[in-house]
Amino acid sequence: MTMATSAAKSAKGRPAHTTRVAPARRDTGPGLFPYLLALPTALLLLVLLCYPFYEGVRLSLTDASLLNPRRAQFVWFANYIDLLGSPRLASILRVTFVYVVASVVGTLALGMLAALAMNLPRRGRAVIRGLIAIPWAVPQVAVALIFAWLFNNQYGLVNHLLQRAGIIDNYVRWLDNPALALPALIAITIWMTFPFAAIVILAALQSVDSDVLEAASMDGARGLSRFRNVTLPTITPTLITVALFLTIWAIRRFEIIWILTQGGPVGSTGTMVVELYRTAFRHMDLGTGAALGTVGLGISIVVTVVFVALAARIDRAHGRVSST
Amino acid sequence: MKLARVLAPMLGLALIASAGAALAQSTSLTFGTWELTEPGRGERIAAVLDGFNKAQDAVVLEPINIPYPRYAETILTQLAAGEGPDVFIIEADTYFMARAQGLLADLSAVVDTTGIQMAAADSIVTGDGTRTGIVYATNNYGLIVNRALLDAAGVAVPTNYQEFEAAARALTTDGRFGFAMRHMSAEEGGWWFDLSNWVYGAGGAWTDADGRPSVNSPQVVEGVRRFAHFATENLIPRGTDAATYRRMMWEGQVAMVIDNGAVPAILLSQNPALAATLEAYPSPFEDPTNAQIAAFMVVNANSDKLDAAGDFLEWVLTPEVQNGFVDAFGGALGTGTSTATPSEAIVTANPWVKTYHEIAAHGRLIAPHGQEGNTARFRTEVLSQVDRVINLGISPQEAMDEAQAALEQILR
Repeated sequence: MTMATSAAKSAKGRPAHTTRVAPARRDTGPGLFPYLLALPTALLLLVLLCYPFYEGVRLSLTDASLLNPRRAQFVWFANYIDLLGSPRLASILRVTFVYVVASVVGTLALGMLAALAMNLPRRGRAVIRGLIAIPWAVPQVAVALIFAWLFNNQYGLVNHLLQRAGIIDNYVRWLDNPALALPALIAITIWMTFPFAAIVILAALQSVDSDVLEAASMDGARGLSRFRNVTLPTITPTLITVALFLTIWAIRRFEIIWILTQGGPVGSTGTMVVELYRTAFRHMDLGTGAALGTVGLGISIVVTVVFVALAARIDRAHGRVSST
Repeated sequence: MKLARVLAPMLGLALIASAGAALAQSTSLTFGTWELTEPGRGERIAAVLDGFNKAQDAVVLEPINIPYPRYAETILTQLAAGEGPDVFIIEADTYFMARAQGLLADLSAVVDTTGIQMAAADSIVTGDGTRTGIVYATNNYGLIVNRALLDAAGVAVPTNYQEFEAAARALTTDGRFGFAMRHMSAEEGGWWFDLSNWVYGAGGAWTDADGRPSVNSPQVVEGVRRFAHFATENLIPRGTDAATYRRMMWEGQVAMVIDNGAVPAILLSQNPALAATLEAYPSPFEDPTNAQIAAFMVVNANSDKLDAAGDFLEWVLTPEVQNGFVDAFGGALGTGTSTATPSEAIVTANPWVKTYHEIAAHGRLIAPHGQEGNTARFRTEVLSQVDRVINLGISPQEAMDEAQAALEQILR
């Protein structure tokens, strides 16, 4: 302990006052306290995320049956080898790829158009925004049942309206025609998910600096030119994030495909998740189903890494700090 | 008055306590099924089941309804997890899977069938001195026709395939269809029932006598060819599910279906005027063998209420309850005993009931003999190939050869 001494003596010779000053402490950091605060959340994530992931991978290495999972024996990579050798795998991956890409691109396109329309100053904008959110709010099972009726060959509204308009003479087989079943499912998916994209993109559009837009207008930029050179670069990070969410959701989508077609006809709508469900819960083969799930997880991770890398690259190109 | 004000609440409390005590003394037995929400039929079956609660106080039966499309998966998942209802209904293919995994209780010690004439299908649930259930219902497939439509077109009820094809063709006109059947992957389970009728009718079987796959035998291929022919020639409303084509039938838009014994009652409940014109006949194929759906009443091996379950099953096998179930099912289905008969009123009102009891003698399970636990695999491999025949024009022989190869690989 250091002491600073004031040497001023009083006229009467009393001893000088001393002020004790605490010496500078060495900084030992925050300690364990922040980690203790984060511990409950970490434990929750461990249980809810890590354990199911571990169990899924473990099951994929066994011959577990849904009827008696406790009797499972380790077969190591036999399920993966059978999967790779299956003649159906190529078809499953192709259908999944087409479904995901088409539904994501379609959703982004329609969502962008809806967002641009909602961004225009007009009366009733709030009502329009509320109405656009309806498809997003309807449960997926309800959507599937509604569209099962809309696309019904004999009694469906779609065929009825097309026949009344003179566009078709006889009913179109939407969901049991191998050429039309997947496009029909993609259309339903886009209808269901575009409100989410529209609302998020609208928020991004409203964050574009109006001064920059005005300056661009003064420089002669109009409409598409202004959108391409000012608006689009600003909202690109948001678009990438939305696209990532839509891609992951599309890879995982199950209800509408299972309810409407169960992967048919002729496997034309048989995505990876549909095949996983059929393998695990119809054929009772948990091991192979888990292997499919692990492959799907791997694909999702790769997709996420690609999106993050793309976003970082675009941010660097525009001199921004990466937000993803 | 003061005394009354004191005594009344005490009396009320005493009553509540005694009711609670009585409730606590009775055993709760959960009962799983899918039928209780089916229009018309569900209420009748619920009324029969409720008779058990009225007949005694010791056990309270609590029905649990699970929708049919998810029933098998839900029940099996619950059983595998050590859960599930104490007693439940199970169809044949699921029964074999559950039995193979030891998920069903042995009822030999708690169900006494001495003196009871059990149905022929009872042999499925007994063997090696054990009993793993009782027959709940057997349901066969026959030809249901709207006679008025046939008469109007000058068409006789077909008795062989050639007449059948000609009749369907003659009746497919002016927006009406001569026939309807399940043919889409979205109805895989029902499609398997329907296709089995065509294959059995052509003299085919999914497995041979030794339980080996025989899906590319000439008879099976012929059955598949005929089935696909009806679809590709548009003699059926393509892309139409069972709910829709049954509606079309009760609206007079479909003339014939090959369907199970519960369907006429469904059609008549929606259009009572059909009673004058709806008739049932054996399937119009050379071989009288028809698809039989069998459902069993079984007990969960995880249940600790074996005695109560045994009491319930013995009550189910009593003549009054068996006859009650036959009437509740509409009169055309068989039950656990061979002596159960529909009431005179039902037979008089529904002449087609007798036909279904006659064709029951030629019923064969849709689960492949010797491979009952692998029915789902057979279904997937065969139907995916039949799908290719219908939608891509692949030859039935080529398609069934591929299904045979796939099954031999899977079952090696």
